[in-house]
Parts: sequence; structure tokens; C-alpha cells
Amino acid sequence: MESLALTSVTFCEVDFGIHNYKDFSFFGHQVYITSTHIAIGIVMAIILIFAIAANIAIRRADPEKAPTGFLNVVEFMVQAIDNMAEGGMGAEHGGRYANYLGSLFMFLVVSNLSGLLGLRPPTADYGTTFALAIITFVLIHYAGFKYQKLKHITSLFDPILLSPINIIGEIATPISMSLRLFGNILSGTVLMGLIYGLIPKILTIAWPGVLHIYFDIFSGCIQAYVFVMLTMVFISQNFETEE
Amino acid sequence: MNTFYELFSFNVTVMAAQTDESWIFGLDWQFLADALILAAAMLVLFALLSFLLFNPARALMKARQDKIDADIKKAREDKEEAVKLREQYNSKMALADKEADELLSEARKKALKREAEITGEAKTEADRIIKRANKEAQLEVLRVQDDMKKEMIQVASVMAGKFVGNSLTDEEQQALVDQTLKEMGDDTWQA
Repeated sequence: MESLALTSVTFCEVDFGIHNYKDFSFFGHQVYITSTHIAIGIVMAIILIFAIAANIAIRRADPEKAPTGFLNVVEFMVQAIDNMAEGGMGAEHGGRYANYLGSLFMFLVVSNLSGLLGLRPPTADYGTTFALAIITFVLIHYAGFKYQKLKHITSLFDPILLSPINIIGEIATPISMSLRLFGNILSGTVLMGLIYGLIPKILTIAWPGVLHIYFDIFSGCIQAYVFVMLTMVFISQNFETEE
Repeated sequence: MNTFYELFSFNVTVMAAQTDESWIFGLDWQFLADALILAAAMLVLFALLSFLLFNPARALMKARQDKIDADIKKAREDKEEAVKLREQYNSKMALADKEADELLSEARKKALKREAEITGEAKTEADRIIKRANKEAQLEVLRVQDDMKKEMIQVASVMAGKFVGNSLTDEEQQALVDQTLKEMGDDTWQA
């Protein structure tokens, strides 16, 4: 990162965009390995290292003894995710989606907090949030077809006059979910980038930390929770109208 | 870019469109590639986390829960068994007390009966002994009286012999004693 000299005070270069690194061909079009992909790799590596450590702790654990230390944290986390899934989707269906919801929540939390590690959060890239929202969209309609059969489609045309609104509403779901997450995280990233660029370098040591607490930790965790909750709510709407 | 305004205008450029250096938003092939890569990464992450973290953790917690449930069930059964055993013990103890009372009562009755028997036998034996003693005493009296009678006769004979002198022989003297005794009879002494 180069420094910009403005009179006698040193400033950081403003940088909150996605960087391209290596190009490759995608259906005949030139695309790039970007800083988002690298951040996704680092986030996944962090989560997988945690999962491997947890797996080792679980394998070594004696089920006849009370859990201690790290294993306690792991069990608490898994239990919290299960409770969240069962609380949002019901005991019958929650268990089936708990693994995906847990994976999604962990990915979002670590991604949103990755700004603290100096990474550009992967969720500040619309390609990331849109993909997550599309997975949710697929799960919503999978559950819809599974539990409501053809009524899942016919209900869009009931009443017929509202069918355009109903169809737009369905399509709007992944777009609104993805843009909400993307906008929130990107706004934090842009604001932090601007602040780092606009204050003298010496001040960046201390006071942007307060802003990180809000933009990365508070907003990041809230947005992760909101995304997962919305995923649960939209999927479970199909269970409620099953009967 | 030496001034704040130049810096700001650079940012606006970055946000508005892609540049070779960096970009923020675009609905193009890069976006599709990003979405596909993330979707694949997410599915891989989901599979790995299910395999490494969620399912083993749930299995461990389920095993522990089953163990605790089994322990609680066993403890409840043991408690019920203990309550049953205590009730059985109490009822047996009550029965044993009752039996002991019955046995004691019976033993007491038997003892009293035996006591009565022993007392009766003792009384009978005592009576028999007393009777026998009385009879023996009477026989002794008779024997002593007989001895005394003989002694007296002998003494009287000796005295009479002395008085009579030398006229009687020993045979005549003996015959005289016998005759006297015959005449006197037993009743004379027993009266």
C-alpha cells in the first residue's frame, strides 16, 4: 500500500475495491481470480481448521464424561445452531436444514469479521451474496414443491390479477436478501476505506478500531443473523401452508 | 492525486465503473463466475462441516444424552426397586414381629403349661415321698417298738428268772417266754 504525501502529513491510499489477480476463461469470456476469491479461500480455511480441530476433539472425547474446554465451545455452538434451526423451522424440519444453516452462519460471520484481519470481506462482493441468496431461493422452492406440490405454482396465480406481483415478489426475495447483505457490508467497507484514506496515517493506529466494532463486529454479526433468519423464515413458510 | 478532491473523485470513479486496478460492482461474466465459485465453495463447506463438525458433534451429544437417559432410567428403576424392597422389608419386619409375638405367646403358654406340669409332678412326687417317709417312719416305729418289747421281755424274764430261782431250766424259761408273748399278742404293744 503506497502512501500519499499531502503537505507534511502522510495519508494511506484509499482502497476498498476488488482487485483482479489472474485471468482465466469462463465460457469463452475472460474473468479473473479476484481478491474476493482469495478472501473466500482464507475464510474457508479458517472455518475448516476450526472444524478439523473440533473433529479431533470430538474423536478424543469420552461420551461418558462431561465436556471441557474447546469441546464445550464446539458443543455449545452446534447446540445453539440446532436450537436456532428448530426454533425457526420447527423441530420436525429444523434438523434437516441445521447443517446448511450452520455452515451459512459460520461462513457469513467469519466473512463479515474478516475485515478485522485486513481482508476485504467476501460479502462485500455482490457475486458472493447473490450466490448465497440463490442457494436460499433454490431451497425455498425445493421445500415449496416438496410440501405443497403443484399448489406452490398455482398459488402464484391466485388471485389472477395479483399474479404479476406474486411472481415479482418471489423473484425479489433473493435480490433483496443479497442486496441487503451486500449493501450493509459494502457500506462498512467503503466507510472504513474512506476513513483510513482521509485521516493521517498516525491516527489509523487507534481510533478506527471503534468504527470496526460497529461496522465489522456489530453490523457483521447482525447481518449474518438476519440473512440466516430470513433463509429460515422463507423456507419454513412452505411448511406452514403444507396442510 | 494530491488533494482530497482528487482522492474523492478517484473513489467515485472506482464505484461507478470497473477499472483495471479495482472495481466494486458489475453484472457481467465475472459476476456469474464469482457466484458459481461461491456456490460451489459453499456446497463444499456445507459437506465438510457436516462431515467434520455438525454430525460428529451431534453424535457425541446424542451418545452422552443416551448415556444420561440410561443412567437416569436405571437410577429411577433402582429407586423403585429400593422402595419395593423397603416396603417388603417393612412388611416382613411387621410379619416377623407378629410371628415373634405369636411365638413368644405360644412359648409363654407352653412354659406356663410346663410349669404347671412340673409343679404338679413335683407336688405328686413330694406327696409320694412324704407318704413313703411317713410309712417308713411308721415301720421304724413298729420295729423300734418290737425291739423294745423284746428288750422288755428279756429284761422281765431275767428279772423273773432271778426271782424264780433255780427251779426252772433254760428250756422251761424259754417256753414260758414264748407262751407269754403269744398270750399278749401284737395289739397289746400297738395300742
